[in-house]
Amino acid sequence: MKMTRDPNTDFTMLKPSTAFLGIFLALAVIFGYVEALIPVPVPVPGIKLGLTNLVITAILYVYGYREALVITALRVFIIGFLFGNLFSIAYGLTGAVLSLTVMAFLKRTGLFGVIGVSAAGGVSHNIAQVMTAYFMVTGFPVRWYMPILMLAGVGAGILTGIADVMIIPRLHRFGVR
Amino acid sequence: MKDFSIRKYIGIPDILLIIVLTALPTAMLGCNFFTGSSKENPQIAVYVHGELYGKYDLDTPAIIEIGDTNTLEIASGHASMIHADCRDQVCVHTAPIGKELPGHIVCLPNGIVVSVENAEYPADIDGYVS
Repeated sequence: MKMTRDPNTDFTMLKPSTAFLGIFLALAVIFGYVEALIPVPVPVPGIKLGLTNLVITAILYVYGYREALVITALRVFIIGFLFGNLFSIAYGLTGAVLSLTVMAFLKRTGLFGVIGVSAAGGVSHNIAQVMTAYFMVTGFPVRWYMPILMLAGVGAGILTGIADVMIIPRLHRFGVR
Repeated sequence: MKDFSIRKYIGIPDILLIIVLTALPTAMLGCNFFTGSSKENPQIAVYVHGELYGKYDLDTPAIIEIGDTNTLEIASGHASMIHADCRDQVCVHTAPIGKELPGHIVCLPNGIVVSVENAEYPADIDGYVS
């Protein structure tokens, strides 16, 4: 006799991706926190390594744009409510959504590898944040901030891209799906 | 994954993309340095109710009528308010501002703020009392 399975109580019916995405979300939140603890030896505020971008790019490659968008939005809200304020949510959301959209678009063209996609993501993240600052802070020196943060975004994006090149195949091998 | 080489993961489009993304901000920085050097000379900026009323060169003496309420004088590298139609005359009594004299001249009744822009003051001095 066949047992009836109730999707509300039977957890074996959940897609395995739900559990993995939960782990990725926790990882992204923790990376965002760890990153705030690492001092960056440059006099320009706003330059950081973008460790969360590591996770988001991996999700983009292992799952897809929709999953990465959900995780990145949740991440921004969780970090914003835990450690930040409304402004940090606004900065985080514009940067995260624009960089993810640019990365998904570049990935879709099929021309670029993980490193190129990640570098473009880093740049667009910083562009979005500088633009947000321009609209929210009067007298914000965009002329100087924009190129410096763009360069920093390329550098950080290449570094996280190299890490992702090594991480993504291992995730696939590990059975993340 | 034993013979890991980065070459397999970075193609010519990636390198071109990274070059473009690096060249663009470098060009912007270069432009900043070029335009920045010619825009050095300090100017007097007049704001009325938060909006820019005008910018004036500090080196050319001038008498500036701000609306029909105030009169600003620029002479020998300093700007000072010489007339205001209000009763308290705080802005008229404010010390002149200029290249070496940081500060603002504020006229609250008429919503006027006069300040020096593009000026660099010696860092070891917090302010002047005159």
